[in-house]
Amino acid sequence: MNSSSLLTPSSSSSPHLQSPATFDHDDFLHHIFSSTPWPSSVLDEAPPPTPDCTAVLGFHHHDIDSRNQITMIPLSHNHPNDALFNGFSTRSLPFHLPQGSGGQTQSQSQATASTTTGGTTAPTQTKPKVRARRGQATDPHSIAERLRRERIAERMKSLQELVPNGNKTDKASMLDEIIDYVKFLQLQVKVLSMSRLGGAASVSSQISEDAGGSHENTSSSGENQTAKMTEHQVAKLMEEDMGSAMQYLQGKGLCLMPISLATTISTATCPSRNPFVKDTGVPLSPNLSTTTIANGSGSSLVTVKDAPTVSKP
Amino acid sequence: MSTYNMVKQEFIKKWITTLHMLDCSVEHPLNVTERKNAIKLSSDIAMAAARSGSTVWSRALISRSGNKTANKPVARRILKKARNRLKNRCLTLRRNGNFTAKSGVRKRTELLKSLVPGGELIKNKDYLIRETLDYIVYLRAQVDVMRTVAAVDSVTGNLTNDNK
Repeated sequence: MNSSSLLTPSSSSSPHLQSPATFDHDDFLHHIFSSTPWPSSVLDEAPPPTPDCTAVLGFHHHDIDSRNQITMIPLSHNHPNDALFNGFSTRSLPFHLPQGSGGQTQSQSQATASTTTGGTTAPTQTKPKVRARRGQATDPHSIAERLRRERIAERMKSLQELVPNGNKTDKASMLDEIIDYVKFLQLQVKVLSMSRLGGAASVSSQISEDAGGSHENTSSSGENQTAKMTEHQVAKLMEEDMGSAMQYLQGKGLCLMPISLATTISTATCPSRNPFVKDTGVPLSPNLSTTTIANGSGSSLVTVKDAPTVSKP
Repeated sequence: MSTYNMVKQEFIKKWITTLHMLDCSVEHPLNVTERKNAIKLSSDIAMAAARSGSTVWSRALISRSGNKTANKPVARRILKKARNRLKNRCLTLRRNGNFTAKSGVRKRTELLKSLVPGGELIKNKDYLIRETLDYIVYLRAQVDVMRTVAAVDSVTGNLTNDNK
Protein backbone atom coordinates (compact mmCIF):
# COMPACT_ATOMS: atom_id res chain seq x y z
CA MET A 1 0.00 0.00 0.00
CA ASN A 2 1.33 3.32 -0.85
CA SER A 3 2.25 4.40 2.54
CA SER A 4 1.73 7.63 3.96
CA SER A 5 -0.58 10.35 3.33
CA LEU A 6 -1.19 13.38 5.28
CA LEU A 7 -3.41 11.55 7.51
CA THR A 8 -2.15 8.11 8.04
CA PRO A 9 1.04 7.87 9.90
CA SER A 10 3.29 5.31 8.52
CA SER A 11 2.87 3.15 11.50
CA SER A 12 -0.79 2.49 11.20
CA SER A 13 -1.62 0.10 8.50
CA SER A 14 -5.27 0.64 8.14
CA PRO A 15 -6.91 3.97 8.13
CA HIS A 16 -9.34 4.72 10.79
CA LEU A 17 -12.44 4.52 8.83
CA GLN A 18 -14.49 5.34 11.76
CA SER A 19 -13.17 7.79 14.14
CA PRO A 20 -12.35 5.80 17.17
CA ALA A 21 -12.88 8.79 19.30
CA THR A 22 -16.58 8.31 19.18
CA PHE A 23 -16.37 4.92 20.60
CA ASP A 24 -14.92 6.24 23.73
CA HIS A 25 -17.30 9.04 24.04
CA ASP A 26 -20.44 7.06 23.83
CA ASP A 27 -20.43 6.09 27.41
CA PHE A 28 -19.84 9.56 28.48
CA LEU A 29 -22.45 10.99 26.23
CA HIS A 30 -24.93 8.41 27.21
CA HIS A 31 -24.32 9.23 30.75
CA ILE A 32 -24.93 12.83 30.17
CA PHE A 33 -28.03 12.43 28.17
CA SER A 34 -29.57 9.85 30.35
CA SER A 35 -30.09 12.53 32.88
CA THR A 36 -32.95 14.68 31.89
CA PRO A 37 -32.30 18.27 31.13
CA TRP A 38 -32.53 20.74 33.88
CA PRO A 39 -34.36 23.95 33.49
CA SER A 40 -31.78 26.58 33.18
CA SER A 41 -32.64 28.36 36.34
CA VAL A 42 -32.21 25.43 38.53
CA LEU A 43 -29.58 25.56 41.10
CA ASP A 44 -29.80 23.67 44.22
CA GLU A 45 -27.82 24.12 47.26
CA ALA A 46 -26.53 20.67 47.58
CA PRO A 47 -23.24 20.22 45.90
CA PRO A 48 -23.56 18.07 42.87
CA PRO A 49 -22.69 14.48 43.42
CA THR A 50 -19.18 13.60 42.58
CA PRO A 51 -19.00 13.11 38.92
CA ASP A 52 -18.73 9.68 37.64
CA CYS A 53 -15.46 9.96 35.96
CA THR A 54 -14.95 6.43 34.96
CA ALA A 55 -16.32 6.97 31.54
CA VAL A 56 -14.27 10.05 31.10
CA LEU A 57 -11.12 8.49 32.29
CA GLY A 58 -11.62 5.42 30.32
CA PHE A 59 -10.31 6.85 27.14
CA HIS A 60 -7.50 5.07 25.65
CA HIS A 61 -5.10 5.28 22.92
CA HIS A 62 -7.12 5.17 19.82
CA ASP A 63 -7.62 8.77 20.06
CA ILE A 64 -3.98 9.40 20.48
CA ASP A 65 -3.36 7.82 17.17
CA SER A 66 -5.93 9.88 15.50
CA ARG A 67 -4.57 12.91 17.15
CA ASN A 68 -1.12 12.21 15.93
CA GLN A 69 -2.49 12.28 12.53
CA ILE A 70 -3.18 15.88 12.97
CA THR A 71 -0.52 17.52 11.02
CA MET A 72 -1.33 21.13 11.17
CA ILE A 73 -0.30 22.71 14.31
CA PRO A 74 -1.39 26.24 14.60
CA LEU A 75 0.61 29.01 16.01
CA SER A 76 -0.34 30.15 19.33
CA HIS A 77 0.38 33.39 20.86
CA ASN A 78 2.70 33.92 23.70
CA HIS A 79 2.22 30.92 25.76
CA PRO A 80 4.24 27.85 25.06
CA ASN A 81 3.12 25.44 22.49
CA ASP A 82 3.81 22.54 24.67
CA ALA A 83 0.48 22.84 26.24
CA LEU A 84 -1.04 22.49 22.86
CA PHE A 85 0.94 19.44 22.00
CA ASN A 86 0.54 17.83 25.31
CA GLY A 87 -3.09 18.40 25.33
CA PHE A 88 -3.63 17.16 21.91
CA SER A 89 -1.47 14.19 22.06
CA THR A 90 -2.18 12.78 25.37
CA ARG A 91 -5.71 13.48 26.13
CA SER A 92 -8.79 12.28 24.55
CA LEU A 93 -11.63 14.54 24.09
CA PRO A 94 -14.86 13.85 25.65
CA PHE A 95 -17.59 15.27 23.59
CA HIS A 96 -20.88 16.05 24.75
CA LEU A 97 -23.36 17.25 22.36
CA PRO A 98 -25.65 20.11 22.55
CA GLN A 99 -28.37 18.09 21.01
CA GLY A 100 -30.34 16.13 23.42
CA SER A 101 -32.11 13.00 22.53
CA GLY A 102 -34.81 14.79 20.70
CA GLY A 103 -32.52 17.25 19.15
CA GLN A 104 -35.13 19.87 19.31
CA THR A 105 -34.48 21.52 22.59
CA GLN A 106 -31.20 22.69 21.39
CA SER A 107 -30.22 25.60 23.44
CA GLN A 108 -32.05 24.41 26.42
CA SER A 109 -30.59 21.00 26.47
CA GLN A 110 -27.28 22.47 25.65
CA ALA A 111 -27.37 24.64 28.65
CA THR A 112 -28.63 21.90 30.77
CA ALA A 113 -26.47 19.20 29.36
CA SER A 114 -23.54 21.31 30.13
CA THR A 115 -24.60 21.50 33.68
CA THR A 116 -24.62 17.81 34.05
CA THR A 117 -20.99 17.44 33.54
CA GLY A 118 -20.64 14.82 36.07
CA GLY A 119 -23.56 12.92 34.83
CA THR A 120 -25.62 13.59 37.84
CA THR A 121 -28.40 11.21 38.00
CA ALA A 122 -30.89 13.08 40.01
CA PRO A 123 -31.83 16.18 38.17
CA THR A 124 -34.86 17.96 39.31
CA GLN A 125 -37.61 18.01 36.85
CA THR A 126 -39.55 20.76 38.42
CA LYS A 127 -38.31 24.23 38.76
CA PRO A 128 -37.35 24.74 42.33
CA LYS A 129 -37.30 28.12 43.89
CA VAL A 130 -33.91 29.47 44.40
CA ARG A 131 -33.30 30.13 47.98
CA ALA A 132 -30.64 32.41 49.13
CA ARG A 133 -27.80 30.91 50.94
CA ARG A 134 -27.14 31.89 54.43
CA GLY A 135 -25.37 35.15 54.65
CA GLN A 136 -26.14 36.26 51.16
CA ALA A 137 -28.49 38.89 50.09
CA THR A 138 -31.95 38.01 49.00
CA ASP A 139 -32.00 40.98 46.77
CA PRO A 140 -33.28 39.84 43.37
CA HIS A 141 -30.53 41.56 41.56
CA SER A 142 -27.82 39.82 43.39
CA ILE A 143 -29.62 36.57 43.06
CA ALA A 144 -29.79 36.99 39.36
CA GLU A 145 -26.19 37.97 39.33
CA ARG A 146 -25.25 34.94 41.32
CA LEU A 147 -27.25 32.69 39.07
CA ARG A 148 -25.56 34.10 36.08
CA ARG A 149 -22.15 33.62 37.51
CA GLU A 150 -22.86 30.10 38.49
CA ARG A 151 -24.21 29.29 35.13
CA ILE A 152 -21.12 30.62 33.52
CA ALA A 153 -18.99 28.61 35.85
CA GLU A 154 -20.79 25.44 34.99
CA ARG A 155 -20.46 26.03 31.32
CA MET A 156 -16.82 26.70 31.74
CA LYS A 157 -16.54 23.43 33.52
CA SER A 158 -18.09 21.55 30.69
CA LEU A 159 -15.92 23.41 28.27
CA GLN A 160 -13.02 22.25 30.30
CA GLU A 161 -13.88 18.74 29.53
CA LEU A 162 -14.35 19.43 25.91
CA VAL A 163 -11.15 21.21 25.29
CA PRO A 164 -8.01 19.21 25.80
CA ASN A 165 -5.73 20.28 28.54
CA GLY A 166 -8.52 22.09 30.12
CA ASN A 167 -7.59 21.42 33.65
CA LYS A 168 -6.76 24.99 34.32
CA THR A 169 -8.54 26.59 37.14
CA ASP A 170 -7.82 30.07 36.05
CA LYS A 171 -10.48 31.50 33.85
CA ALA A 172 -8.07 33.39 31.70
CA SER A 173 -5.95 30.40 30.89
CA MET A 174 -9.02 28.32 30.31
CA LEU A 175 -10.16 30.86 27.80
CA ASP A 176 -6.73 30.68 26.27
CA GLU A 177 -7.07 26.99 25.78
CA ILE A 178 -10.48 27.38 24.26
CA ILE A 179 -9.25 29.96 21.86
CA ASP A 180 -6.31 27.88 20.85
CA TYR A 181 -8.44 24.89 20.31
CA VAL A 182 -10.92 26.71 18.15
CA LYS A 183 -8.10 28.13 16.08
CA PHE A 184 -6.59 24.74 15.81
CA LEU A 185 -9.76 23.13 14.59
CA GLN A 186 -10.38 25.85 12.09
CA LEU A 187 -6.91 25.45 10.75
CA GLN A 188 -7.40 21.76 10.46
CA VAL A 189 -10.49 22.27 8.43
CA LYS A 190 -8.56 24.49 6.12
CA VAL A 191 -5.81 22.02 5.66
CA LEU A 192 -8.13 19.12 5.23
CA SER A 193 -10.17 20.88 2.65
CA MET A 194 -6.99 21.39 0.81
CA SER A 195 -5.49 18.03 1.05
CA ARG A 196 -8.44 16.18 -0.29
CA LEU A 197 -7.41 14.44 -3.43
CA GLY A 198 -4.68 16.90 -3.27
CA GLY A 199 -1.27 17.19 -4.63
CA ALA A 200 1.66 19.10 -3.38
CA ALA A 201 0.57 22.02 -5.47
CA SER A 202 -2.51 22.56 -3.43
CA VAL A 203 -0.54 22.65 -0.29
CA SER A 204 1.95 25.06 -1.61
CA SER A 205 -0.63 27.63 -2.48
CA GLN A 206 -2.11 27.24 0.92
CA ILE A 207 1.24 27.80 2.46
CA SER A 208 1.77 30.98 0.61
CA GLU A 209 -1.68 32.12 1.55
CA ASP A 210 -1.29 31.31 5.11
CA ALA A 211 2.20 32.41 5.57
CA GLY A 212 0.92 35.87 6.23
CA GLY A 213 -1.60 34.78 8.74
CA SER A 214 0.57 32.28 10.45
CA HIS A 215 3.16 34.74 11.31
CA GLU A 216 1.00 37.25 12.99
CA ASN A 217 1.90 35.93 16.29
CA THR A 218 5.60 35.82 16.18
CA SER A 219 7.22 38.39 18.23
CA SER A 220 9.91 39.79 16.10
CA SER A 221 9.02 41.14 12.78
CA GLY A 222 12.44 40.49 11.38
CA GLU A 223 11.87 36.84 11.68
CA ASN A 224 8.54 37.26 10.14
CA GLN A 225 10.08 38.38 6.97
CA THR A 226 12.60 35.64 6.67
CA ALA A 227 10.16 32.99 7.64
CA LYS A 228 7.62 34.25 5.18
CA MET A 229 10.07 34.32 2.41
CA THR A 230 11.22 30.88 3.17
CA GLU A 231 7.69 29.70 3.19
CA HIS A 232 7.04 31.18 -0.17
CA GLN A 233 10.14 29.73 -1.54
CA VAL A 234 9.36 26.32 -0.25
CA ALA A 235 5.87 26.55 -1.59
CA LYS A 236 7.13 27.40 -5.00
CA LEU A 237 9.58 24.61 -4.97
CA MET A 238 7.13 22.13 -3.72
CA GLU A 239 4.99 22.79 -6.66
CA GLU A 240 7.63 21.69 -9.00
CA ASP A 241 9.40 18.98 -7.25
CA MET A 242 9.49 17.69 -3.77
CA GLY A 243 13.13 16.90 -4.06
CA SER A 244 14.17 20.41 -4.80
CA ALA A 245 12.05 21.68 -1.98
CA MET A 246 13.79 19.30 0.31
CA GLN A 247 17.16 20.41 -0.86
CA TYR A 248 16.25 23.99 -0.40
CA LEU A 249 15.23 23.35 3.10
CA GLN A 250 18.29 21.39 3.82
CA GLY A 251 20.37 24.14 2.45
CA LYS A 252 18.82 26.38 5.00
CA GLY A 253 19.46 23.82 7.59
CA LEU A 254 15.91 22.75 7.98
CA CYS A 255 14.40 19.42 7.65
CA LEU A 256 11.17 17.76 6.92
CA MET A 257 9.57 15.43 9.24
CA PRO A 258 6.16 14.19 10.12
CA ILE A 259 4.40 16.32 12.58
CA SER A 260 3.87 13.55 15.02
CA LEU A 261 7.54 12.94 15.15
CA ALA A 262 8.20 16.58 15.58
CA THR A 263 5.88 16.95 18.46
CA THR A 264 7.22 13.90 20.13
CA ILE A 265 10.71 15.12 19.83
CA SER A 266 9.92 18.58 20.95
CA THR A 267 8.07 17.53 24.02
CA ALA A 268 10.63 14.94 24.86
CA THR A 269 13.80 16.83 24.48
CA CYS A 270 13.04 20.42 25.00
CA PRO A 271 12.19 22.19 28.16
CA SER A 272 9.40 24.63 28.45
CA ARG A 273 10.10 27.22 25.89
CA ASN A 274 11.97 26.36 22.82
CA PRO A 275 12.50 27.67 19.47
CA PHE A 276 10.80 25.26 17.28
CA VAL A 277 12.02 23.68 14.22
CA LYS A 278 10.33 24.77 11.16
CA ASP A 279 8.75 21.60 10.12
CA THR A 280 6.97 20.43 7.18
CA GLY A 281 5.06 17.29 7.68
CA VAL A 282 5.92 14.96 4.94
CA PRO A 283 4.53 11.55 4.98
CA LEU A 284 5.94 11.05 1.60
CA SER A 285 2.91 11.13 -0.47
CA PRO A 286 0.87 13.46 -2.56
CA ASN A 287 -0.93 14.78 0.42
CA LEU A 288 1.10 17.18 2.35
CA SER A 289 0.60 19.72 4.91
CA THR A 290 2.79 22.30 6.30
CA THR A 291 3.04 23.78 9.63
CA THR A 292 5.06 26.57 10.86
CA ILE A 293 5.58 26.77 14.48
CA ALA A 294 6.99 29.88 15.85
CA ASN A 295 7.46 30.45 19.45
CA GLY A 296 6.70 33.75 20.96
CA SER A 297 10.12 34.05 22.40
CA GLY A 298 12.18 34.04 19.40
CA SER A 299 14.07 32.35 16.71
CA SER A 300 11.66 30.51 14.65
CA LEU A 301 13.89 28.83 12.19
CA VAL A 302 16.17 26.70 14.13
CA THR A 303 17.13 23.37 12.90
CA VAL A 304 18.28 20.70 15.09
CA LYS A 305 18.52 17.63 13.08
CA ASP A 306 19.59 16.18 9.83
CA ALA A 307 17.00 15.17 7.42
CA PRO A 308 15.61 11.93 8.60
CA THR A 309 13.79 9.43 6.57
CA VAL A 310 12.57 11.52 3.77
CA SER A 311 12.55 9.85 0.47
CA LYS A 312 10.98 11.00 -2.65
CA PRO A 313 7.48 9.84 -3.34
CA MET B 1 -26.73 6.80 22.21
CA SER B 2 -24.00 7.78 19.87
CA THR B 3 -25.11 11.29 19.43
CA TYR B 4 -21.74 12.34 18.22
CA ASN B 5 -22.08 9.83 15.45
CA MET B 6 -25.38 11.33 14.58
CA VAL B 7 -23.82 14.72 14.34
CA LYS B 8 -21.25 13.39 11.98
CA GLN B 9 -23.82 11.64 9.87
CA GLU B 10 -25.86 14.74 9.61
CA PHE B 11 -22.84 16.69 8.60
CA ILE B 12 -21.75 14.27 5.99
CA LYS B 13 -25.18 14.10 4.42
CA LYS B 14 -25.32 17.83 4.08
CA TRP B 15 -21.80 17.98 2.86
CA ILE B 16 -22.37 15.49 0.12
CA THR B 17 -25.28 17.53 -1.05
CA THR B 18 -23.33 20.73 -1.13
CA LEU B 19 -20.41 19.11 -2.82
CA HIS B 20 -22.64 17.77 -5.50
CA MET B 21 -24.10 21.15 -6.10
CA LEU B 22 -20.66 22.55 -6.28
CA ASP B 23 -19.48 19.92 -8.64
CA CYS B 24 -22.27 20.36 -11.12
CA SER B 25 -22.03 24.03 -11.43
CA VAL B 26 -18.36 24.71 -11.63
CA GLU B 27 -16.14 24.27 -14.61
CA HIS B 28 -13.64 21.69 -13.85
CA PRO B 29 -10.17 22.94 -14.37
CA LEU B 30 -10.25 24.39 -10.94
CA ASN B 31 -7.19 25.97 -9.64
CA VAL B 32 -6.21 24.53 -6.33
CA THR B 33 -7.01 27.56 -4.31
CA GLU B 34 -10.42 27.69 -5.82
CA ARG B 35 -10.93 24.11 -5.06
CA LYS B 36 -9.84 24.55 -1.53
CA ASN B 37 -12.17 27.46 -1.12
CA ALA B 38 -14.99 25.53 -2.65
CA ILE B 39 -14.49 22.57 -0.43
CA LYS B 40 -14.16 24.69 2.63
CA LEU B 41 -17.21 26.66 1.72
CA SER B 42 -19.29 23.60 1.15
CA SER B 43 -18.18 22.01 4.34
CA ASP B 44 -18.74 25.15 6.36
CA ILE B 45 -22.19 25.51 5.02
CA ALA B 46 -22.86 21.88 5.63
CA MET B 47 -21.70 22.22 9.16
CA ALA B 48 -23.89 25.20 9.75
CA ALA B 49 -26.82 23.56 8.05
CA ALA B 50 -26.40 20.49 10.14
CA ARG B 51 -26.99 22.64 13.13
CA SER B 52 -30.03 24.03 11.36
CA GLY B 53 -30.05 27.55 12.40
CA SER B 54 -30.79 27.29 16.03
CA THR B 55 -27.47 28.64 17.06
CA VAL B 56 -26.04 32.00 16.42
CA TRP B 57 -22.86 30.68 14.99
CA SER B 58 -24.53 28.62 12.34
CA ARG B 59 -26.54 31.48 11.04
CA ALA B 60 -23.60 33.80 11.21
CA LEU B 61 -21.45 31.32 9.37
CA ILE B 62 -23.90 31.09 6.55
CA SER B 63 -24.29 34.80 6.19
CA ARG B 64 -20.56 35.28 6.39
CA SER B 65 -20.01 32.74 3.66
CA GLY B 66 -22.56 34.57 1.63
CA ASN B 67 -20.80 37.86 2.00
CA LYS B 68 -17.45 36.46 1.19
CA THR B 69 -18.33 34.70 -1.98
CA ALA B 70 -21.03 36.90 -3.25
CA ASN B 71 -19.86 36.75 -6.79
CA LYS B 72 -19.71 33.09 -7.22
CA PRO B 73 -22.90 31.67 -8.54
CA VAL B 74 -22.13 28.38 -6.99
CA ALA B 75 -21.95 29.74 -3.54
CA ARG B 76 -25.14 31.57 -4.12
CA ARG B 77 -26.99 28.46 -5.02
CA ILE B 78 -25.79 26.60 -2.03
CA LEU B 79 -26.49 29.46 0.23
CA LYS B 80 -29.90 29.91 -1.16
CA LYS B 81 -30.71 26.42 -0.26
CA ALA B 82 -29.25 26.76 3.17
CA ARG B 83 -30.97 30.03 3.71
CA ASN B 84 -34.28 28.59 2.84
CA ARG B 85 -33.75 25.96 5.38
CA LEU B 86 -32.94 28.48 7.97
CA LYS B 87 -36.10 30.34 7.09
CA ASN B 88 -34.33 33.57 6.54
CA ARG B 89 -33.04 33.97 9.98
CA CYS B 90 -29.59 34.90 8.94
CA LEU B 91 -27.75 37.59 10.68
CA THR B 92 -25.67 40.12 8.98
CA LEU B 93 -22.33 40.44 10.53
CA ARG B 94 -21.08 43.83 11.21
CA ARG B 95 -17.58 43.90 12.38
CA ASN B 96 -17.17 46.05 15.39
CA GLY B 97 -13.94 47.89 15.71
CA ASN B 98 -11.47 46.12 17.86
CA PHE B 99 -10.99 47.92 21.06
CA THR B 100 -8.35 46.88 23.48
CA ALA B 101 -9.80 45.19 26.47
CA LYS B 102 -8.55 45.96 29.89
CA SER B 103 -8.21 42.80 31.81
CA GLY B 104 -6.95 39.46 30.68
CA VAL B 105 -10.25 37.71 30.77
CA ARG B 106 -11.96 40.45 28.89
CA LYS B 107 -9.31 40.51 26.26
CA ARG B 108 -9.64 36.83 25.77
CA THR B 109 -13.35 36.93 25.51
CA GLU B 110 -12.98 39.49 22.81
CA LEU B 111 -10.61 37.18 21.02
CA LEU B 112 -12.99 34.32 21.38
CA LYS B 113 -15.74 36.43 20.03
CA SER B 114 -13.73 37.10 16.96
CA LEU B 115 -13.11 33.44 16.43
CA VAL B 116 -16.55 32.06 16.83
CA PRO B 117 -18.71 33.13 13.93
CA GLY B 118 -21.32 35.50 15.14
CA GLY B 119 -19.58 35.85 18.42
CA GLU B 120 -19.36 39.57 18.27
CA LEU B 121 -23.06 39.85 18.27
CA ILE B 122 -23.43 38.06 21.52
CA LYS B 123 -23.54 40.39 24.41
CA ASN B 124 -24.04 37.95 27.15
CA LYS B 125 -20.95 36.06 28.12
CA ASP B 126 -23.08 33.17 29.16
CA TYR B 127 -24.41 32.72 25.70
CA LEU B 128 -21.02 33.15 24.21
CA ILE B 129 -19.70 30.21 26.09
CA ARG B 130 -22.66 28.14 25.16
CA GLU B 131 -22.20 28.98 21.53
CA THR B 132 -18.52 28.19 21.74
CA LEU B 133 -19.28 24.83 23.19
CA ASP B 134 -21.60 23.99 20.40
CA TYR B 135 -19.29 25.32 17.78
CA ILE B 136 -16.40 23.29 19.05
CA VAL B 137 -18.38 20.11 18.88
CA TYR B 138 -19.42 20.75 15.34
CA LEU B 139 -16.00 21.81 14.28
CA ARG B 140 -14.60 18.66 15.68
CA ALA B 141 -17.22 16.63 13.86
CA GLN B 142 -16.32 18.37 10.65
CA VAL B 143 -12.67 17.69 11.13
CA ASP B 144 -13.24 14.07 11.95
CA VAL B 145 -15.39 13.47 8.94
CA MET B 146 -13.06 15.22 6.59
CA ARG B 147 -10.12 13.40 7.98
CA THR B 148 -11.84 10.09 7.61
CA VAL B 149 -12.84 10.78 4.07
CA ALA B 150 -9.40 11.95 3.19
CA ALA B 151 -7.88 8.90 4.75
CA VAL B 152 -10.12 6.62 2.77
CA ASP B 153 -9.27 8.67 -0.20
CA SER B 154 -5.59 8.30 0.18
CA VAL B 155 -5.89 4.60 0.47
CA THR B 156 -8.09 3.99 -2.47
CA GLY B 157 -7.62 6.87 -4.67
CA ASN B 158 -4.41 7.95 -6.08
CA LEU B 159 -6.34 6.74 -9.03
CA THR B 160 -8.63 9.66 -8.79
CA ASN B 161 -5.66 11.89 -9.16
CA ASP B 162 -4.68 10.15 -12.31
CA ASN B 163 -8.12 10.28 -13.73
CA LYS B 164 -8.38 13.97 -13.20
